Amino acid sequence: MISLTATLTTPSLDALIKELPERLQSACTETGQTIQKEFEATSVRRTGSLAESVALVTSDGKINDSGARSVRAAHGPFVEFGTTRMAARPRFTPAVESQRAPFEQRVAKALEP
Amino acid sequence: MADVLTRIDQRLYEILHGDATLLALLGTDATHTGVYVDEITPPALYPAVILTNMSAIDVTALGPQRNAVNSVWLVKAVGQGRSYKALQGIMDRVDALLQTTTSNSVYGSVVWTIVSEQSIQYAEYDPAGEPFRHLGRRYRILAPPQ
Repeated sequence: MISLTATLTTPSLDALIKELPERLQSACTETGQTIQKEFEATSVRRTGSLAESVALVTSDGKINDSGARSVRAAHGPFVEFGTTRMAARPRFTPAVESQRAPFEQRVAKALEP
Repeated sequence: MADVLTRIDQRLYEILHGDATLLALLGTDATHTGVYVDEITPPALYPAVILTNMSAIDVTALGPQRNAVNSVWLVKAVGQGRSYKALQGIMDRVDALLQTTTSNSVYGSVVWTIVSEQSIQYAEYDPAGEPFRHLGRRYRILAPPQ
């Protein structure tokens, strides 16, 4: 019987895997912050409560400066999706959509050795 | 970009307003078509279907040439009262018309693909305290640039 053994040494890959959470966190944070800036810049301001209500929320529910964005003002959905007396004036969706491609680029960059 | 969005909302309107089964579920008369873009013609007649563009991003490869437009649309049913169930039949019909795989009535030179991405429902009370319900979906539509 012939036995073949191959050993693959991947010090760069090991280092990348170790750094991956931090690198991806950075990509997520940058994306979330950009979404927030775009939302605030395009929101119609009366009291400013909607624009100022955007919060970054992590997947574990903690509110801090990394992770996904959410609009926390109670009237946010009415502005975004409209009411019987007001057409929808979406601001959050365009802000998120504008960051789809940049987010993919940030993740790709984060995965570079 | 604006021309593309206008063509898409016209196509969506044609598809929805052209369906007798859907219109039979909506509030219609001589001045109310039952299907609207952005807002209902006042004085409103319910239930109604409203379609709204929420986002549109140019898809490019190398260079400035647009290869497609990646857009998100909100299509929702709005009705008086507290019942989402009353609106479900309307949205089921809307979804069948927009997501059909058995005909090419949707797809063609104006729209390449339509994919439902998210369901939306919420309650609204007007200033007089009258309850309304909104039930809809967000659709991602990929369309040719011109």
